[in-house]
Amino acid sequence: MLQISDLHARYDGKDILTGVSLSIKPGEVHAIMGPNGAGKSTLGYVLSGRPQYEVTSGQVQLAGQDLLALEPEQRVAAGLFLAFQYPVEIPGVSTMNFLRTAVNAVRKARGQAEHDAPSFLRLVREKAKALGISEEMLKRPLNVGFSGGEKKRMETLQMLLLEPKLAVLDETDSGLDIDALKVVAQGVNSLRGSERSLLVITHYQRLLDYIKPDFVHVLSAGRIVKSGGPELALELEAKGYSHVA
Amino acid sequence: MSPEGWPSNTLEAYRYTDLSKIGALELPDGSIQCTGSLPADILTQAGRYTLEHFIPAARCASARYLRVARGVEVTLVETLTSAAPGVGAARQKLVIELEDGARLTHLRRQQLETSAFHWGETKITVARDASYTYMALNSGAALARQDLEITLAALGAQAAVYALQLLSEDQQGDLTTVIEHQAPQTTSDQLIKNVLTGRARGVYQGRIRVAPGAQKTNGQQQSRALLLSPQAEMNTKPELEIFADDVSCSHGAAVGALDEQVLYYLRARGLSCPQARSLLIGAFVDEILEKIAAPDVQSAWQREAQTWLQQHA
Amino acid sequence: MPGADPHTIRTVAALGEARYPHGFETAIESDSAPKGLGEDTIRFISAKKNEPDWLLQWRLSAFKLWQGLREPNWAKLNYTPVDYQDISYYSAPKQKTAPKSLDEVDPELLKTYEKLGIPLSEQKLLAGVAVDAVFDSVSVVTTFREELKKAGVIFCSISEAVREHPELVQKYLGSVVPVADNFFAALNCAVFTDGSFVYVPPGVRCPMELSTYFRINAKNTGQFERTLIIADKGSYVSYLEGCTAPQRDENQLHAAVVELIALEDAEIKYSTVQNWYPGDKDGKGGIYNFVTKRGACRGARSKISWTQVETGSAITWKYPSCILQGEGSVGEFYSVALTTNHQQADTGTKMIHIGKNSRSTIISKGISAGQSQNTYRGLVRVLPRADGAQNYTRCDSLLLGDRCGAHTVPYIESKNPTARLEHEATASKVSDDQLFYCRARGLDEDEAVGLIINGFCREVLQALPMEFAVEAQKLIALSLEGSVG
Repeated sequence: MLQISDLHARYDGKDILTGVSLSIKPGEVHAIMGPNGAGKSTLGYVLSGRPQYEVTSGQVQLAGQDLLALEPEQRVAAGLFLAFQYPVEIPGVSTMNFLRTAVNAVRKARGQAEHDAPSFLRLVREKAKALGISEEMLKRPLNVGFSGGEKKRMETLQMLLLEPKLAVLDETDSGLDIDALKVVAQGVNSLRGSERSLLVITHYQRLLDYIKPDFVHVLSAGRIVKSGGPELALELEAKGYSHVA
Repeated sequence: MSPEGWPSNTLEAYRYTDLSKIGALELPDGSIQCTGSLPADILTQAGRYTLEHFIPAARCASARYLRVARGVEVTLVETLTSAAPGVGAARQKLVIELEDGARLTHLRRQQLETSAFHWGETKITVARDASYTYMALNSGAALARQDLEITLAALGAQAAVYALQLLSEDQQGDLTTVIEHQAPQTTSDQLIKNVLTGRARGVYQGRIRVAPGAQKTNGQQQSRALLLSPQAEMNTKPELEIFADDVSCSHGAAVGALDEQVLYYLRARGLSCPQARSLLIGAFVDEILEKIAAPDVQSAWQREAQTWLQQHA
Repeated sequence: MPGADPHTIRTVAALGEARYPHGFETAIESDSAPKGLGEDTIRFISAKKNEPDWLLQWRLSAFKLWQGLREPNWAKLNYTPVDYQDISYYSAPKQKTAPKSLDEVDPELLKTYEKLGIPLSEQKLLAGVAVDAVFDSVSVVTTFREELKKAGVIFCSISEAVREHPELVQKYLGSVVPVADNFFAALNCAVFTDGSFVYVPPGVRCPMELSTYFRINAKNTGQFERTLIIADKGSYVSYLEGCTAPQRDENQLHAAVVELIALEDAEIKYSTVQNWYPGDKDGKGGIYNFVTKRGACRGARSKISWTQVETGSAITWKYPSCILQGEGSVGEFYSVALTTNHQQADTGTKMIHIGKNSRSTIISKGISAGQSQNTYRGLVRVLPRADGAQNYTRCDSLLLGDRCGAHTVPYIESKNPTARLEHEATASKVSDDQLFYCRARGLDEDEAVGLIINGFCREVLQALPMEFAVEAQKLIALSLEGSVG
C-alpha cells in the first residue's frame, strides 16, 4: 500500500528526515513512536504535501502512484488522509458546507458520483452521531471554538467520510480524555479492513491500547532506528526512548 | 449644494483620499435623477421604501432630508447607478433623523460605472431607543468616498454598520465613519470588509467617540481586508476617542492575503486550490451579506458579489 | 456621578495630590546664553562647545529650514504656544575646567544626582550600569569609561564624540532623522547642546547597561539633547534613559532627538523612564516634551526594541519609531503612558516595513486619570517590497474616573498582500469584578487598584532591564499615590 524509500526532507533550512524507509501492506496498522523532535509530525506533513516541507531525496508510493509528484488534494483523491495534530480553525465556513465540498471534490476526482444534499446529510448525521458530534457542531464554523476533543472527533469524521486507503493519524490522542479517546479509537477501528492501512504517529503507548498495531517503529533523529511488534511499544513505555534510540 | 470645494488629502480626515481632483475635472453640469417610492420627507408608515439615484456623465449634486417618525419601522433601499456611460462626478447627501423608538434599516448599493467619481455623505441622528442599521455593498466608481456620521443622541440609541467593498483594477473606495456616543447606554457595532484585487486601494477610517457622561456605552468595530493581488493596497485608521470611563469599546483590524495554512488544510481534505480560495473568499464576504434581513436584497447582493468574485478573484 | 463607583472617585481625588519628589532645585552657579534664538545664539553655542566648522554650518542650515517649518498640530494636544524667543538655549554649571574624573566634579552636582537616586561615584553605582549625567545643556560626567574602553565600546557625551570621533558622528548624525524631518527635530539640530554617544564595535556585546540621566535645572532654559547610538555588525547594547526636572510654575521646553543605527545582526535595546515635572494638580507648570526618536534597522536580522514608561511632562509628543530596512529585521515598541491631573500625552510609534520578512510588535498601555488626555498614535506601514512582513499591535487603555480621556489612533497601511497585520485595541475602566475578586482575597481597594494596574502594565514592565523595572513600578505607584497604599 505505502512504500517509503530513503526519504530525506528539510524544513526551515534544517534536515528533519534523514532516510526513512517503511513499507505498509494493505490492512496493516503501523505505529511510529519516538521522542519529541524526532520528525514524527514532519513525516505526516511530507506525506500530505505541506508547503515549505522540502523533500530532498527518496521516494514515496501509495498504491503504486508516485505520491510526491501530486498536489496535496490529489494525494487525498489517491487515498491519503492526514488527521492533523492541530486542525486549523476556519471562521465563516460552516462545517457542513466544508464537509460536502470536500467529499464531493474527492469523489469527483475518484470518478465517483457526487452526493446529493439529502443523502449526504443523512450520511454525515449517521457518522457524526457515532462519534458524538452534535447537529449544532455541524452548523458552527469549522473548528472555531471547538474543544481539543471536538476537533479530534471532527478529524475522525472527515476521515470516515473521505474513505482513505491510508490514514495517517498525527498525535490523535493528544488533548483527549479517556472517554473521548475511546470514541475516536472506535471510529478509527470502524475504518479498518483488509483494503485499508493505518499509520499511527504517537508519543505514548496509550492510544495503542485502543488501536492495536501490527508493527511498531521507533523514529529518532529523522530515521527509523528500531522496528518490532506491538511488544516494542510496551518496552518503550517501560524503559523510555533513551534506552532504544 | 455646490459641488465645488472638494477636500484634499492635506486634511487629516482625507489623508488617504484626495477629492480635490474631482473638483479639477472638466465636466459639464447635470443633475442627479432621483426616483423611488419615498412618499414624503417624514415617514409615518412602516414599510419598505426605495431611493434611486441615476448619475449622469456630468458634475452633479443632490441633498435629501428624511425623518422616521416615533416608533415607526422602515427599510430604505438606496441605489446609486450611472445613468449613462462615461465620467460623472456626483456629490450626494442624505440627512436622516430617527425619532424615539424608530427603526431604520438602510441598504445602500453603490454600483456606478468604474469611470465615475462619487462623494456621499450620510448623517444620521438617532433618538432615544431608536435603532439605525446601515448595510452597504460598494463595487463601483473610480474614486468613491462614503462619509457616514451617526450621532447616538439619547439613551438606548443603537447603530450598526456592515459594509463590503469589492474593488479591482484602479478603483479606490473610502468608507469613513464617525459614531458619536452622546448619551449613556448607547451601542454601536461595525464590521467592514474589503476585498481588493488589481491595483485597487481600499480605505476604512472609523472613529468611535464617547462623549463625557456617556457611560455604559458599548462600541465595537472590526475591519478586515483581503488583498488578492501584489499591487492592491489597504489603509485603515480605526480610532477610539473616549471621554467616559464606564465603557466597553474595542476595535480590531487585520490586513493580509488568504492564510496559507488554511489553504493547505483545505487541500489536505481534497479541495483544489481554486476551490479552496473561493470557499474562503466566499466565507469572508458572506459574513457581511448574511446579516441582510431583506431576502430579495440579500440574494441580489449575493449574486452580484458572486459575479464579481468570479470575474476578479 | 453616573456609573462611577465611590472608589473611582476617591482614586481621582487622590491623583490630584500626586507628589513629585524630584521637584527640588539645585543652587549652582551657571553660565547661560541670553534668551532668544537667532544665528548668533547658534554661533554662541557652537563656540562654547569649541565645535568644528562643519557642525556649525550644519546647525545654521537646520536653523534656516526650521524657520520655514510649522509646529505640528495634528496631535490631540492643547497647550499655550511656546515663545521660542523667551527661552535660553544654553545653560551649563559654572566650572573652571572640564572635570577629568569624578573627584573634580562639583560636589553640589554629585549631591543632586545622589538625591535623585543616581549616585555617580563608581563604588556606589549599581554594578553593571555606566551613567552619562547630563545637567541642563552639558554632560557633567560619564562613569565606567575605562572598563568600557577595554571592550572597545565608546560611551561619551556627544560633544566629546564630535571632537574625538568626528568620522562616526559625521557619518551617522542626521542619517536617521533628517534635519528637516519635523519642526522640533530641526530646532534640535540647530541648538542641541549635549547628549550621549555610543558606538559598539562589530561582534561586541556591551558588557554593561549604558545609561544617561537627564536633568533640567536652570530656569527659563530648554533642554535640547541629542543622542546617537551605533551598533555595528553583530553587536548588542542596552541603553537606559531617565529624566527629571525641578517643580516650577512656568512650562519648560524639552526637544530631544535620538537616532539609533543597527547594522547586520546587531541589537539595540533602548529603555526610557520619563519623569519630567508634570505640572501641579491645576495644570500649572510642567515640561513640554517634544521628542523625535527613531531607529534604523539597516542590516539583515537587526533588531531595535523601544521600551518607555512615560509618567511625567505636562505635554508629551513622542513616537519612537523603527525603519525596518534589513531583511528579517525586528522592531519592538513597549509603552506605558500614565497621565494624571491635566497632563496630555500623544505618544506611540511608527513601524516602517521595507525589508522582506521584517517583523514588528507594538504593545501600548495607556492609563488616564484626573482630567488628563492620553492618546496612542501609531503607524504601521508596509511598503511594496516587504514580502512576508508581520505586525502585531495591541493597545489597551484604562480610564480612572469620568473626567479623563483615552484615545487610540492607529494608521495601518499595507501595500503588500503577503504581509499580515493585526491590530487590537480596547478601552475600559478597572472592572468591578476584578476589584471585588481582589477584595474577596483580602486586599483593600487601594492595593487592589495598584495590583490591577501593575498587572495591566506587566507586559511592558517586563521588557525593561531589571534595575529599571523596579524603578518604573515604584514610579507608577508614586504617580498614583493616595490610591495605591
